[in-house]
Amino acid sequence: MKKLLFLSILALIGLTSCKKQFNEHQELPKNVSSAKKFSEIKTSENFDWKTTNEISFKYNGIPTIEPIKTTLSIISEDGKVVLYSGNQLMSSNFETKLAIPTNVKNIVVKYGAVSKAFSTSLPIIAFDILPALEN
Amino acid sequence: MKKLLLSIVTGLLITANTQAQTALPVLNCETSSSPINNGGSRGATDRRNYDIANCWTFGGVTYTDIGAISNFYSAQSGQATSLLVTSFWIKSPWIKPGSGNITLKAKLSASNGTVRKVHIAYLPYDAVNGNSAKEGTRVEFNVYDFTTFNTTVNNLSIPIPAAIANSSVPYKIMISLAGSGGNSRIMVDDLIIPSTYFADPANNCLPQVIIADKDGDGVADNDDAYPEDELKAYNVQIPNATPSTLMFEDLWPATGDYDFNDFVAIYQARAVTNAENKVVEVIISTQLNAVGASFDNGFAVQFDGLSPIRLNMVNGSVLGTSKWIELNEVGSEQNQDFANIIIFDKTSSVLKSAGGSGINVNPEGPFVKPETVEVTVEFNTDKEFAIEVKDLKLNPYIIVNGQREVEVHLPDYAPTNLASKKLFGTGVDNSNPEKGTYYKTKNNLPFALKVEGVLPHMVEKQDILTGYPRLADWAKSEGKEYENWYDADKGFRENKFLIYLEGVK
Repeated sequence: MKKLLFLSILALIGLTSCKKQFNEHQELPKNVSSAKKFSEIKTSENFDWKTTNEISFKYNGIPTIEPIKTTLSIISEDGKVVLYSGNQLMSSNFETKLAIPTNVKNIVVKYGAVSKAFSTSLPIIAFDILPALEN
Repeated sequence: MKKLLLSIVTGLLITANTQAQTALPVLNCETSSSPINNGGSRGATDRRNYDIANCWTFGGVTYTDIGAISNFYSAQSGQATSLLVTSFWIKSPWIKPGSGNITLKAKLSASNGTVRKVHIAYLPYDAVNGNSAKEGTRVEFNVYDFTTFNTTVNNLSIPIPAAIANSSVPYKIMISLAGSGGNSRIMVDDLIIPSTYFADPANNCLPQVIIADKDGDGVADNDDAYPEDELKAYNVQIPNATPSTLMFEDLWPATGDYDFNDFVAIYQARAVTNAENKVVEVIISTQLNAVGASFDNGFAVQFDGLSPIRLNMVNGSVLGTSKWIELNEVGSEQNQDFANIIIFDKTSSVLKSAGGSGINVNPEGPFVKPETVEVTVEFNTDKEFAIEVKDLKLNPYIIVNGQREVEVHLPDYAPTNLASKKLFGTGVDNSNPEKGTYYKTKNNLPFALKVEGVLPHMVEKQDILTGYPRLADWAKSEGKEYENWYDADKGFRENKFLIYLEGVK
């Protein structure tokens, strides 16, 4: 019984500790900057100051019985923003770079009636019209 | 006359695939997107997926390279212990049947079994009462009964029934593999159906349909942003889909006051492409919102890496009377390796001051309505000159106070030919052309920012961190934290230091 009580206290302390750390991060005053002047900021030369993420998009073509050509489009999840549109031969590969605003978390790729969603956290998005692998 | 009208109408319609359909549907289980024979179950899956992508469907049927009937792979049922025709089956894509015989090869995987049969049927197209694939009621027209149970290959040849031969409406052929007793599988290969392929892999494998294409450019009207212009098909926003806010400091290479309002514009470019995905024109829209500077700066865009020879014409630039402007015959800037488009020669050519210092940078006003300059850059679509959207790398910059050799670019964007390289490394600039780093200080601070969205800009002489405090955290974390540092919804703005013009959120 004592052992159980001891373990419970330990678990509680652990949880409280985690919660406090999380809250401290969240409760930072929103409008207090960590620097007073822009000139005080120092970053490494690798930082590019872009508010977009660059993603490589690849359409992997698949051989077809007949030449099939229709519209390949890349759109935002809500369908409002078209990132790319083009006429695409189903059997040909296609690659492009996309500059995705950092606040866009998901995109949808459409080819004819085939539609697949992708997270923009991936540096490379590869799309094909094949169904999910089956055994 | 009627005949002429009919031919015109026909010309205005395209099939879903834009190509005449003449191929013979063949299932040989060998084609894959992989050029090599990758063997084993992966190779089998690749090949079956290719056939699925081409609208063949399978029920309980897999591909195998063990004991293949021909070449490397064959289709096979599971252990054929069901007499149901719905246990193991292959359905063809939608076809328009021709005449002659359907041929296929079949064998057993092992020398055992009590009953083994190959049922052959057709499925009519039924958009009303059919299943989700629009397949109507199955009509069986042949059964092949294995009379001996061994692994010998049997060549089947079955006439297409007269009821569907040479039909103008779509059908599928369904091959069912059934049996009882033993554990042998039924293997099938080299299925050939005399017919015309009539499925559309890009439309859930439904039968091809006639799609309206008024301009006959091969892009369906529903997808065509310019359905009545055969030279244009798509709009593609570049470099990304949302407008951006450009904010410049213009004292480079000296340090500025970092209010980033010496030049503020909402900037967006749109490429118009044709049905071959070649760029027909690029429309650059620049809404000049504020000028917090005593300098009268110009604004231009360089197409990095693109020779001016790619251009046909530039229209819409506001050029004023600046003497430094020298254009070539198509309207891009003279003496540049890459195409440079002067959007306007100076801010005063676009926005007139209403009095006071600067334009739209003092909260008390007076305010001037922002003006938009839209420049259209027409591109040469001839084969040897044509470019695609991926070739468009836009590099916007300001030309400082009529000094053509003084440019300020976004961080790490290269200067143009006409910029003086002597200024690099002077003042607080730490550009290093050899390393490809430009327009940044020793501490990697920029002289210009481009932020996605339409943002309010800073009040005159207010450090940008007063309006956007989280910008410091974002920069210090090198983009890992507070990536939405400019977001109003997150409460990351200090509005008393910001100026919201009409339309700015």
